[in-house]
Amino acid sequence: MYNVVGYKQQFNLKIRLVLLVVFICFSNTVIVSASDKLSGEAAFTRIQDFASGLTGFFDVINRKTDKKVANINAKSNNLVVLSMGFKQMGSQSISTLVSEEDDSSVEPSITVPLVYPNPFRQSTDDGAILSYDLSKDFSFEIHIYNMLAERVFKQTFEQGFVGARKGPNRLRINKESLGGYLLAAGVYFYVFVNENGVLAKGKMVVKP
Amino acid sequence: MTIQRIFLLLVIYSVLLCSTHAVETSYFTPDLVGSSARSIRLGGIEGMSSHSDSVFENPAALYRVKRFSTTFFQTTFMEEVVYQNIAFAMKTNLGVFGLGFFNAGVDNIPKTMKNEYEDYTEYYVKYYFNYQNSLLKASYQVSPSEFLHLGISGSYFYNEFDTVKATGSNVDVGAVLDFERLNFSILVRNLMTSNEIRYVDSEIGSNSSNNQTEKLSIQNIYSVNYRLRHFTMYGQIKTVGSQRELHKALGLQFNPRFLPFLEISGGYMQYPQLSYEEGVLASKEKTSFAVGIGLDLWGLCLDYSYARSDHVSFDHNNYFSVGLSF
Repeated sequence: MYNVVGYKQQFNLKIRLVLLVVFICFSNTVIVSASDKLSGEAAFTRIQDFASGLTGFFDVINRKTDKKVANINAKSNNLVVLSMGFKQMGSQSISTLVSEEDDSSVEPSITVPLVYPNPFRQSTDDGAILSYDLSKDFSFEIHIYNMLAERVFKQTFEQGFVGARKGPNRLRINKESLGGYLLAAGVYFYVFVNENGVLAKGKMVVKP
Repeated sequence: MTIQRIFLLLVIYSVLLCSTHAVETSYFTPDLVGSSARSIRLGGIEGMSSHSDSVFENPAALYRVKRFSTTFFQTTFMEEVVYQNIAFAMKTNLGVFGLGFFNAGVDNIPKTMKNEYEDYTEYYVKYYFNYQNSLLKASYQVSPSEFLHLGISGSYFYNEFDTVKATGSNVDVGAVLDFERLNFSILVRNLMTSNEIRYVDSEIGSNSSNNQTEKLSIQNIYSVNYRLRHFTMYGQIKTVGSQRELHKALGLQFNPRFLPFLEISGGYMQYPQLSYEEGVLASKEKTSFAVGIGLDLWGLCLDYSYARSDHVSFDHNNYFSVGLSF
């Protein structure tokens, strides 16, 4: 009696395993077990990997090590590739990063953005990191002005894409940024803007 | 008239035939903002002032100082950058001597540091520092004849922020031709092209700018004005840097005969500006308009100018300057 019950249990288990494998193969889902659940940090890095090979003005960096892992570009074509990255990895692990919670009641806001180091040399590989946290995914623009209030940089960051995601965002400004244009030494003023006006601002000093 | 024709041909040849629209990076000097509200309301015209602020423009124009002149100019950009200058000029038997000091300052700039933890990096402000960019000018003017005036200025540049100090020097030479209704001004700024700004930085490592240098852009500035009844028309062509990027300016001033102490003017400027917008690095022709008013009350000159700005939340700039001449 016990053998028959055990055999049925083993058979059911095998059927379930086969079904699970078939489901996984067809759904292209990333497995996440309770023990090794993908952390937000790891998911962040994995998504950056989908952007590998893209050229850009800012570099996404690994928040943990501050090492450059990929280039990004806010040009629409390249962002489509990045968007596909989100879709292909569309499991619950990624959804934790993309955030399924309803953010509609959350006001779009940015913590005080900081540039590290400040002052910094743009003419080096390391350059500096512009660090800021978003309250939710939302679109905005970054403007940079020189000491004559002339705009030297403007870039739109689209909601949910690199630089415009909920939580910490890190952008690198170095010799490859701004299309290779090296800013003259001096103070520069960066402003985060969306349709509601100025969200945050700060100042940085460029050394020769 | 022969001298005027030769002068005009020289200007046309050297500017229009040799200029380009390229933009190069060079040291930021505080006088880029303009030497006075009067100069700005005329579109940045230089070399036509009657006051001591000529020290920052064409020193040859100091011949217009009667005995003594002093000027003060201040403006603030984006509620952050404070520009100030002060200048003095005095006429002596040996010629006119001038002295000027220009400063651009920004306060409370965050010095940032980071803490690296196992799973994230924290950035924080350690302290705040100030940025000062100064320019000291000493000028001398002499008039070989009634209509020809020559001038020379020595410039000393000083820049200080956080762990960095920078110094440099250069020379400007200029001439003004005065034919009563018609005036020509020619200036070569930063004549010594080999002179550079040299940086000293006490910071160590790859982020140190110790021994780094920046160029001082050579500038050729040709200005002309012509008085016709109540109006004075101004024009200026400036080439900047070895790439000879072209800056153009036009100004018009209304000086009613029935109110001789009042000046109403407007100016237009066009110059190339390099900017990176939505993934594209491009040099665009930037245009700028300014209007303003000036009052000359028995030697006390008050000037105000208004100009539009690029900035998303500060769409205009106001400029004030005051001068005393006798």
